[in-house]
Amino acid sequence: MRLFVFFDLPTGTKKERSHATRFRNMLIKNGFTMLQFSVYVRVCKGQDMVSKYLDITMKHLPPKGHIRAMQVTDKQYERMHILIGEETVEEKNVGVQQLLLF
Amino acid sequence: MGWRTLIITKPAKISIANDQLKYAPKDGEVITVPIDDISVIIVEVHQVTITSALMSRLTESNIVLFTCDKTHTPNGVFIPFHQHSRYTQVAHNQIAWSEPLKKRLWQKIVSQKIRNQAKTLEYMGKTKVKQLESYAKSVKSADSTNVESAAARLYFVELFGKFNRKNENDWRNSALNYGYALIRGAISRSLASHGFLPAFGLFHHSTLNAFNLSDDIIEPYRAFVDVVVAEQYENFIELPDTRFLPEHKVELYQLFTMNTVIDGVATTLLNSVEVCVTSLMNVTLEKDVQLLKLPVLVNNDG
Repeated sequence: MRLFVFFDLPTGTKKERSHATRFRNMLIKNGFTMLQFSVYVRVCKGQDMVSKYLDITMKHLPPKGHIRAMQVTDKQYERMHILIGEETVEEKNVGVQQLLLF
Repeated sequence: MGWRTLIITKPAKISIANDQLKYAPKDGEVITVPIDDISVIIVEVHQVTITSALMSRLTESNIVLFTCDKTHTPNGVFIPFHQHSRYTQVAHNQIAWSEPLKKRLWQKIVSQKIRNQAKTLEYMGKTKVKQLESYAKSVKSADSTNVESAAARLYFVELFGKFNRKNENDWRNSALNYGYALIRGAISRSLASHGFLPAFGLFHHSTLNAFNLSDDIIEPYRAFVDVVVAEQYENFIELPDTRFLPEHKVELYQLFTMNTVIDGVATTLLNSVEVCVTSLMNVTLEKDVQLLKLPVLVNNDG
């Protein structure tokens, strides 16, 4: 399972930028990786993990902005088309593998 | 609870950044992995630098880290210390295990060990399965009649043919030792995280061994290693080379994610260790041998 978080956050004032940075750092610390600017994704094992990370995200929301979360299965994720650009380092090397041979 | 196994086979620096494990190889891209997803790290080569901040963080998430010797066999294990909130209580209860309780626990462990050995033979298409199963039923308290060794003699000959467990030049022994070392580390980690003292065992009581209890609990798990090595042996039988090669090892890394059934529930081997040790804690609290849950070997093909 993959949990996506998409966000648009206001960055007009210093305070808003600080809220946005804090939200972004929270995602990274909880194991989300950046797929594109303002599109973050986390690998989850099963529904329990999805709920866990959704809860964590909801507890750290900034006061304003637009944020959405969506979960897709690994199969659906793999069918994603990359039209321009390439896979991220984590997608290539980590993904959903249980055994990581570095 | 982690579910990934990480094996470091190239010179690199591993550290922590943004609460992620940061793997920076000498040549190549930096990769990050969420710490909480990891359960086991095996450092296979000697040219790896690990920061103390990372090591400290590993214990918080109850992650076990193995170091290896020159032949890449695990020779050291870094496990959490004093993690469990009721550490002292569990340790006290463990030291107060009565002799009859220990004897009955050992009986149960040996019986399951032999039953798993029978399953190994069954899956490898060998005979003598029935004989082992009847051995499993005849184990007495504390295995006073030493059925364990009688079963082992029968079992290894049936599984491997001409085979001496003490012959260091036989790659099967290297492979078995490698697999056992991995599981032993995983058990020690789980014991330590529950507040047990791995030095005080049920049956094993060597004063030179700091992991007597791990060596008790590992018994029913040995068959899982045996079945992987036996399958490899059948596939590699043509090879004249007697060395234990990296490609043999890759198969053994799958051990942690092998399928098993414990307490009637299908799960992975690594998870079952956790279930087994938790059940041992219940045994300690309730003083009831029946509460001990042990892993059952199931067919992993298909």
